[in-house]
Amino acid sequence: MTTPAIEIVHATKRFGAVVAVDDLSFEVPEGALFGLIGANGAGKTTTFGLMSGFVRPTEGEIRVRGHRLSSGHPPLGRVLALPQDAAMPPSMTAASVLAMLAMLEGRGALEARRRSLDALARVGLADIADRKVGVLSHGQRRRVGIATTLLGDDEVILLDEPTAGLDPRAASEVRSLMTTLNAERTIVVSSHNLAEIEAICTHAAMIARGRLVTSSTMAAMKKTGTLVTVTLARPLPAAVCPRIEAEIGVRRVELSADGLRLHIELEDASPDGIAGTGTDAGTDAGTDAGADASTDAGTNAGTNAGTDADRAAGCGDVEDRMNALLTVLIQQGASVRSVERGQGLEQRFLAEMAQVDRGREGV
Amino acid sequence: MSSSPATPPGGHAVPNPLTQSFLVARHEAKAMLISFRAAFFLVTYGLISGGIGAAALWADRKTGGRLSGVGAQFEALSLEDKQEAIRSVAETLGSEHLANALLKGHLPPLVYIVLLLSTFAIPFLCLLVGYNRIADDIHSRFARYLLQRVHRGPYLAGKILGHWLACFFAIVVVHAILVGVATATGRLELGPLVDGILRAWGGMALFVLAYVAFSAFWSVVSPASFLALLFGGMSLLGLWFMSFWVEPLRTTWLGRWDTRLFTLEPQAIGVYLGHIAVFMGVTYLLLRRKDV
Repeated sequence: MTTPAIEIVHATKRFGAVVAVDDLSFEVPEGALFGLIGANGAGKTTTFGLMSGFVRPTEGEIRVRGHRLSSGHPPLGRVLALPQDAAMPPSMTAASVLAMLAMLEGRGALEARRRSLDALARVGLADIADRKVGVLSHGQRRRVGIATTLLGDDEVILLDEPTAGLDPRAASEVRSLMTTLNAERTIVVSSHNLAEIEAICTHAAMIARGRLVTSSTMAAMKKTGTLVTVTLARPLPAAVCPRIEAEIGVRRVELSADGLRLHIELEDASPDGIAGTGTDAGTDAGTDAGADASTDAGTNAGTNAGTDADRAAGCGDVEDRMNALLTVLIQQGASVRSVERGQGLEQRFLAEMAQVDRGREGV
Repeated sequence: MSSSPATPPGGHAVPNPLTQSFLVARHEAKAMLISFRAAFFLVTYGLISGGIGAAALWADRKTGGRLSGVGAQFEALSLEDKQEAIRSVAETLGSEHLANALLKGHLPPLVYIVLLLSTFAIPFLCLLVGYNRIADDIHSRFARYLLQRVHRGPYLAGKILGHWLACFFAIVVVHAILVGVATATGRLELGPLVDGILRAWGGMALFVLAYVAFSAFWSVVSPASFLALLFGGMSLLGLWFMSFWVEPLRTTWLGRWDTRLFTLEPQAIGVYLGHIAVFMGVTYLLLRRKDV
């Protein structure tokens, strides 16, 4: 069995009364391009700090390639991290900062200089090598930060929001760079751009309020059920949820506190569980549902929503259950404003976050 | 599969801690020596020492060379008178070692006076030059780039060594300039000064190291850079005042031992080494536990 690149084992991190990471456990497989997903304040940066050795866990442990990180001892020579919001000395040139860091990694002066120039060239900053960090733009400084992770031959690279603040072209280049580097190294990346994570990552973990929501391969994460959000014109009583659960094959059904939104995860019926790409399914469903939003009973909305995507994947059973769902809603006197359906990462993320929020409200 | 932490497969050999400490120290000393604060250190300490030295030379001339002639006067005494003189001076200064050094010319009285009166500024200047060096790394999070490549021990050692090098270099430059001016203008003879100055520099090396470690402690514990200066400055003054009134501090705090250190008195060296070990040890333990 291959040792995972990184293992987080029941890690908890408290800052005073604040629990930033709460009994978090997941593994980053060797060779993965691993996405860490979460809303603002979910604990992503603290998790990066734990993996990099900058932050000591209050409880639990972190292992890098099987070696337990000990207090104050970063995983030298195994992991290089791009920290979020870390500044560099403004009076030093980009190349001299990188050369100093390379020398600390054990390179001679000439080799360090060569590596620093090479790393800057890989992030498209060869022409500003001898410019002081203090005069660089935010995006350029970010790319100098990314270049620090290219100085060594380390097996694991941690990138905390590497494309934040970059222009679209630079962000695209960084994504290409990550994919290229992943051929020989394990990469862990966090981003608020879920399309970006979905496009490049092979695995992902979703965290909320410091706890793990789910962790799996990207394919599995996207194919988990069909997520349906029904927006209602009039609030429904909570009693509708058990009814839906009893009559339709659902993984879960949740009604918002104001009774105006239903979040439903249908059991997956297709052979491979993928009813279409997340983008297509979501777009089609949203467009069609929107067109029929004025329909009182919403029958058409449900029928049309995501039809193309479902047909493409041979997932007719979903259609039956959508119709059954709408029948139940009509029987309950619901006035459906719109139906959105999708299976992409963003849809999954929004559904998971909504559930976490409702769980908190319940508490 | 597991691998050695020193040479990970596919990775590179991590340099030894000593090399890393020197790399950090070199960067640190270079950054400090080209800073405005280093220039302030040189000018302030130069003016204070130069002023005290000039005043001492003036007093020496006015008294017909009684200060500079102490060694010759002492040599002219009988053995019994010598012993009596040493006893008397030792009683005043609190150290027979220091009395011996002064009367026998190992520490020229002029150098002693300059050191005695000018060293009060050095702890504050050391603090001023380096109070923010670790704190800024932590608060700007540049430490995150450094501490994924260097263990915290070598990092701290490098920071202290670099700070020490910059401060000690500034002091030696000031002393060299003053001695150079005094001997070039014929006010002092270089020969008798050399031995005393070298001893004083030996003691000064420990003196500066103690206060650099003290600054590093405040730089690590303070939640903001300017607080390191504030807390450090207040505690220096507080400990100095308290050393006059609180008995344990009277015998243990650094300020009571500095002039004896400049004659390399073993007991003074022991006190300074003890303080240096405590400051460095506590600072390392705090840094080791600190989230950066």
